[in-house]
Amino acid sequence: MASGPTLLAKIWSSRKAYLFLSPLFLGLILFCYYPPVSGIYHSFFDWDSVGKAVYVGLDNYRELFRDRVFLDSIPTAFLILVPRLIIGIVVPLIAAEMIFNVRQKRLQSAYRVLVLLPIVAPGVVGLLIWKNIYDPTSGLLVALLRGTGLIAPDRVIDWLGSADLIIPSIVFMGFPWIGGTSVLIYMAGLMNISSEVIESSELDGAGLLRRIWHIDLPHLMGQVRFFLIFGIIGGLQDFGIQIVLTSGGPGYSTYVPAYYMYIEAFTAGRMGYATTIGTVMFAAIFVLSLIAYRGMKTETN
Amino acid sequence: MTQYRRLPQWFLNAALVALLAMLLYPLGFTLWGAFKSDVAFAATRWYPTLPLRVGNVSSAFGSIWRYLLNTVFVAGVGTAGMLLIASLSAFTFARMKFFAKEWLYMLVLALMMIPGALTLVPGYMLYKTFDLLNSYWALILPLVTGGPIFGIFLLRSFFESIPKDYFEAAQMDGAHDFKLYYRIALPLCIPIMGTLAIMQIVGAWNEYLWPMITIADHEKLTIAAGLLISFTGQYTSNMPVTFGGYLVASVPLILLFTFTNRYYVQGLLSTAIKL
Repeated sequence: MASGPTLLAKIWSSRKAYLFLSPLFLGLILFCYYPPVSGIYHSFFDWDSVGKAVYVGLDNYRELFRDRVFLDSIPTAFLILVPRLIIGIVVPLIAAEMIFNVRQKRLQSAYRVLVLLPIVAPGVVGLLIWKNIYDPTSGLLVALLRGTGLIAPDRVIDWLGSADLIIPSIVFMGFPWIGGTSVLIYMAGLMNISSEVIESSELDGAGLLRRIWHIDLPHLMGQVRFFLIFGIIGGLQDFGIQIVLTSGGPGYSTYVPAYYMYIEAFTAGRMGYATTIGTVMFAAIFVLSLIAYRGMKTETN
Repeated sequence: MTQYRRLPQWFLNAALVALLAMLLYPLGFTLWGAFKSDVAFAATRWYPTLPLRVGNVSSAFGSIWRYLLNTVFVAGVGTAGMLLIASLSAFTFARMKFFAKEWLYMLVLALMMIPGALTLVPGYMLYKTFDLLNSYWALILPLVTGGPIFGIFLLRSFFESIPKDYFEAAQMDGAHDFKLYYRIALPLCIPIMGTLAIMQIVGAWNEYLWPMITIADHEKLTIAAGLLISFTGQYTSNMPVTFGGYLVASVPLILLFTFTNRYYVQGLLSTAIKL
């Protein structure tokens, strides 16, 4: 037993570090650890917006897995998530490679700054500007299509109002999809590849594409993993477009689980049912990001 | 070196300029849209024209200044608290030896995997129980409590990369842990703290869901929620004034960006954000 100091002695000798960490953990326990526990707990309750909770066992879950709105919202979420995820990983990578390969340092740093510029517009403003671009009669998109003769000059296209167009419209939103922060994160990775590796590959006669494929990409896998995991976590929960632009419509065509949860909680006042949706989403997101992480890990080894 | 295997530089530059033009066009569109009269907007919205109608911007300012003030207050207090807690905690994790260190660190990082979908509703009910709804606390506390998590992740590896000699020399002079933190660690991490601060301020600027849910009183709304809930509804038929509002809403961020983009770029380029 008597090998080394006891647990209490270890804790006592760490008191200073714990003191430094106490502001952090005080906030975390109350506002970050408690809510998820409370969420899972209340998914077994009929919880109303006043706070009254009645235990109902698995009733919420039974109802949820028979709920057509919820079940139909799952494929919708993936239809939106998958293309946006791929775009969000690939396009900034291309942009980073392009900027990285610019020889003139002054131009390169100018591009780095310009690519970040869109963050000065609040995200809501970005969405509202796209609403304007998608205006059926006078938006930029119909104006462009009319101007180039692709559609008749009097043609009206309701990009956000028709069930067939809404998903492609959402995916296209934000074109040319160059997220400045992502570009810089990739560039940081590229700058970490030693110039000797790059030069020796050039001496071997490797062309640009081969260099990107065999040297840059393997070095950037950590960044790709980061964007993939946090893209899944963030993307599956995002319902900004639903709140700002579509209200889940037309019909139920843009309902995603997260938006349904929001509606159930804050317009229907069914807090318990909403936490059930939240709990199921948590489980799904956890499993998905684990699979993605494992899959990516073996791929690089 | 085999020059012909590279992309020609002129082509690369042309492609980048074209991409950036497409990326930035919506911003330009908003910018000149804000200075047009109704009539000019209807006829020539796609490109800038003279004369500039400054009146749009000032009437937009009249209806959103309150939201701006709220946001500056909330983001300022929240970010200051976040930076303090994040840097002190990251320093502790990076530089001090203590029991259950890695275990506690994992406990913090694990929170990055907890999705907001799970915490939105119970979080709201928690603030309701504490009677914090419809107060600035509801907006500031999430920044100070949850905000440091990503910062700790970023700053810990940064502090660990500072050569040990820096700290050992000071320890010889009898500096205690807290002094090591604010004399050595803090000054060195200013650029990366700038990056963090910008991320958090931009985050607070963009947040609309949480204020929409927790704040009933329009007087206390932050800018994104204010724009969304009240401003756009007020001026639906007057696009130039609406754009004027977007412009005014962006001005503080434009200023922030102008003065700090070097830190932000440097900070991002000097840390490895990856998994």
